[in-house]
Amino acid sequence: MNETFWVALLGIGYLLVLFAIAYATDKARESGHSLVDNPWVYSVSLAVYCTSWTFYGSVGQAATTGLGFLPIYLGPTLIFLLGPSLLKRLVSFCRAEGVTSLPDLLEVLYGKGWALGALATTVMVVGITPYIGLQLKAVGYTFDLLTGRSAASGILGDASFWAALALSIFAGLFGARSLVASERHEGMVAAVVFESVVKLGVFLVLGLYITYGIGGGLSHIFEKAVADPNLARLFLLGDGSGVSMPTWVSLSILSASAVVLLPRQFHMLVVENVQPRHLRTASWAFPAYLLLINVLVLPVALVGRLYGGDLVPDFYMISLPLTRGHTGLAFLAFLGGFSAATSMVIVEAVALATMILHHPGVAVLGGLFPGFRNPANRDVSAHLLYAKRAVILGVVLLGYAFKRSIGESHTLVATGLLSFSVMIQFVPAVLFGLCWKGRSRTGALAGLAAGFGVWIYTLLLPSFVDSGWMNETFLTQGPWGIEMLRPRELFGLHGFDTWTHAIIWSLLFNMGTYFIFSFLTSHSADGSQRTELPAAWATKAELEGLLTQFVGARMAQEVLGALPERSSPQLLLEATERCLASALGTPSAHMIINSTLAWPREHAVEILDVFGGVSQTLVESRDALERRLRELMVLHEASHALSRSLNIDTLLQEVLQLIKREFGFEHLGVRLLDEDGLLRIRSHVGLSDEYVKISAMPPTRDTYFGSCFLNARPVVVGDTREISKPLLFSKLVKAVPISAFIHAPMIYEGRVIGVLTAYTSRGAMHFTDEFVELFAALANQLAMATTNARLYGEIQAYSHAMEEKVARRTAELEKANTRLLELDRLKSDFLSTVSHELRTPLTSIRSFSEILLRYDVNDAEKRRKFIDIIHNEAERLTRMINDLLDLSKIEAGRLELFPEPLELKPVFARSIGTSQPLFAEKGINVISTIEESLPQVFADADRLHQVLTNLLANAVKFSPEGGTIRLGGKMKDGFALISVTDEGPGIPPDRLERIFERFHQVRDPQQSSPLGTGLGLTISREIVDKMGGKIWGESELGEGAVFFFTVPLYKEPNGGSVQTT
Amino acid sequence: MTKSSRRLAALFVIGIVALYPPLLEAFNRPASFLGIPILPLYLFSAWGALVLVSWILSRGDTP
Repeated sequence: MNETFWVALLGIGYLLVLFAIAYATDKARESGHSLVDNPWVYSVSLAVYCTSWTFYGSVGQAATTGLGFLPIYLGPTLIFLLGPSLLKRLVSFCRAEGVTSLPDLLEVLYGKGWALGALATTVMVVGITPYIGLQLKAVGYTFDLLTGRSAASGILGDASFWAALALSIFAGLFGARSLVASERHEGMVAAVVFESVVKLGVFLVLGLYITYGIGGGLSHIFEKAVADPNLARLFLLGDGSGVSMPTWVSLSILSASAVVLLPRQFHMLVVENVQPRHLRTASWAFPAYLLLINVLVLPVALVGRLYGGDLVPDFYMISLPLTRGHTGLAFLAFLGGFSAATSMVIVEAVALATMILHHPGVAVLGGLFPGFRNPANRDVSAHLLYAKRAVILGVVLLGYAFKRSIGESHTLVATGLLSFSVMIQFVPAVLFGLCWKGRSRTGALAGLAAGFGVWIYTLLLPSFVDSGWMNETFLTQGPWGIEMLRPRELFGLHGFDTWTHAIIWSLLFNMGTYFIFSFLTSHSADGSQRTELPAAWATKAELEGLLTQFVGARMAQEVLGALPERSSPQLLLEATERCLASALGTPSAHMIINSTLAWPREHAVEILDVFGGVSQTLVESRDALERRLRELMVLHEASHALSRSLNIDTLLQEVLQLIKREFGFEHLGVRLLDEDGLLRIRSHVGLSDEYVKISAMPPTRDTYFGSCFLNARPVVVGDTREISKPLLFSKLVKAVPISAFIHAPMIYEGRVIGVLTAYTSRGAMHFTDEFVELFAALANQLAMATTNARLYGEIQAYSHAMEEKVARRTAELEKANTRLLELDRLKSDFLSTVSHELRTPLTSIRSFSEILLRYDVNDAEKRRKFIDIIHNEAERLTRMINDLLDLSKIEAGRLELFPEPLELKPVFARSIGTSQPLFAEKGINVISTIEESLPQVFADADRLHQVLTNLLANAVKFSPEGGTIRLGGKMKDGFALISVTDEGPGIPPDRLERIFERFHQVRDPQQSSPLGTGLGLTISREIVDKMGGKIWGESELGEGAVFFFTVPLYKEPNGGSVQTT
Repeated sequence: MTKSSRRLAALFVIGIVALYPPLLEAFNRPASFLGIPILPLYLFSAWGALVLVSWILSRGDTP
């Protein structure tokens, strides 16, 4: 195995460790543990500043120019003292604005447009590429040094080529994980931190070894060096030493600006900053790191000069251990240098790639590949991410190309300073941009361009001369022989080193043009302010869709999901723009956002026609949104109407009117399936009654509404000239010229209950999918409301029925109750009356019999009279008791009748006979008249006799002495009508009915005692009723009274039914 | 601006005065102290002091 293998293995192994660290960190972050959220990590990650220039170049510079390496670290040390003030403000500002790179910052400070960003990016790429080449050169050179082989000529044999490839893969994997550049790359940071620790550790180990192991201790080295006049001058500044005082100052200024503005530094400082307060720790920890890594540079350089012979000073760190045979230490040194180079290349490549894509790589890509534009709603985030990775590879390879072509002729420091001096061109624009209100975009552009031009002229072109690409006369005699324009002594300025000279001129031109153009062009204080987003209307979903196109769905959701639920469109737009800016760069983002808010024509030129497709769709979807909004309003109003009423017809009518108003349909109808299985038009607008009548039919597939109902799917006919189901349609068209219609099933809980229909007569119509959807939704809402209303109606009807039933029952009960009370009252009345009535005859009987017993009534006449009274009273008592018995029988329903065919005449005769004594008593004349044709009646003879006797007794009671009582019988309405007429005082009409009540007696005004039991009429009525007749009285006061009752006639058995009990 | 950041800014000014001419010229002479040339010794000491003081100052007010 040769050395090459082992060194390559070491390099590859080291890279694998880096991959593992980065991968593990990213995994940890995904599971919620941020390993980088730590001020120490942040501080050490900033040490990406120390590249192989520091690791190897500082020693080389110290060996040749003495203390010249120091300003490169003193500048950063001083500027970091301003960490908690100046840098913190810068970081906060950038994070708030979503700035991810220096060109971004300039865009934000100087307003929209792409020219400034593009120029800045160009400057960056031109300035930084040599720096990347420098790192690759260091890797390749140390590799060759370590393996002892001669520099390879072919690309494939060049270690730095493979390193470049591996590093671009690493950067692509961990530095371009997401398109959104403001997202932190924790894996990459962790790797950088690891590398920083490795390079510091290795440097200290090697430094200590070289200082003490080779040099024999600090004092020994310095003693020897001071003794050597060649070396002694290294400890001084100014004439004779390598570094003059102006150089000292200008190098400090260069490095102070570079440590903030270099792409990798800006990236680490701003983008990878987790919390701005970490800057406080960084303000001393980062300088401490710089101090540590530099403290042994001078001793190592001196040892190299003292013992190294003709070794290349830049690589003392490796060659010194090698000369002593310590291969292991040399390997370690290689590793340190490797880590310094790799971290720089990785971060630089990522930062540059982001820059290139943003300013304005994305736009250019869009111009080159129309596929990016159409179809516009395609997700281009994956493509953009691959583009970013390709750019990373391109940047690294560009650096490699630089190294291959001209890098060999330069020292590490010279190349590094070339890049540094580019960075200072940004200082005026950034510094004044942040704190001067009079700044202007033109000023920034002009200043940067002028400074860059001077830089090219005074530094880059001379370096080409050094590489042998240009004729040396360019330097010595100036272009076209004009000495005033000699690049290194421009306008005769001399006495300064190259760097100071270049800085003086470039900054002079830069700031001069900046101020001149700023004063000339800035019209107002806010003229160059970042244009605010116009007030606009956009929904979250719309913006999410837009974001998804560029950054993928996950990121889009994350960005917009973090906002409050009801964020204002302004807020949403700002977040969207920030995210887009971070993915595509501020100018592209601004264009995209603007094109979503305006007609594409306005911005057509500026958009470079890149996102034309996008804006087109967005404008379209704005219309769609407005339409959608109106539709939602309709739905809302409909549901409002539906909730207003529970009456089916009212609510159907309201919704139909709403549809008519909102969508302009002239004819609308709602068909509901009735219980008899017919689809009937329940409610309609503008349909003929005739059609309503005939269209009531069971749902069949012969009609459109029928198939809509059966299939539960909307049926749309955009042009009725093409209908295929003409059934019924002619009837419909007769009344109104229908040209298009839509049926939607009314579905509630999976059941179709009807069909909602809209007809129009305005010509053929195209129903959009959205409309059909909306219409179906309306139908479903209607279905729900109808079902509810129906249920409500049923419930109401049921409750009505219940109420009625209850009321009826209550009335019945009340009636029964009053009846019971009445009966109760009557019963007590009855009892008292009965006892009273019974006592009267008993009193007579008792007193007369007592008289007869106690006194000797000798007078036979008298005695006879007394006994007669006793007999009469006893008879009356018997009659009364009989009546009572009859009554109780009747009441108990035990009255039995034995009806038979009867002639009235004998019945009349018997009754008159029985009552004869009464007539005789008052000398009353009785006239009986019976119609000759009167047929037989069908009645119980005894009961009929009883009724007649009662009536006659009554008549006798009220008849005057010697009056006449008429007894009549005649046919009337199929009954025998029997009447008893007296000539008494008559009965008041209001009492005609009451006399039939129990114990109701019409008292004779002349007599105080009642004339009967008061039960006769009651019993009579019960008997007549039972026999199927009626009894009533007619009378006028003073004119006598007539009592009528009817008795059914006898019918022959074959002649029909016979009244029986 | 917090107290410590103002103090650090003051330290920044002190650093500029200390590390650059004209004050630097005072140490820009061929002499040694404890066997170490005076300019590098001064520069590294000043640097170390700056770091040390800034460390102390930034601990001044707890976050």
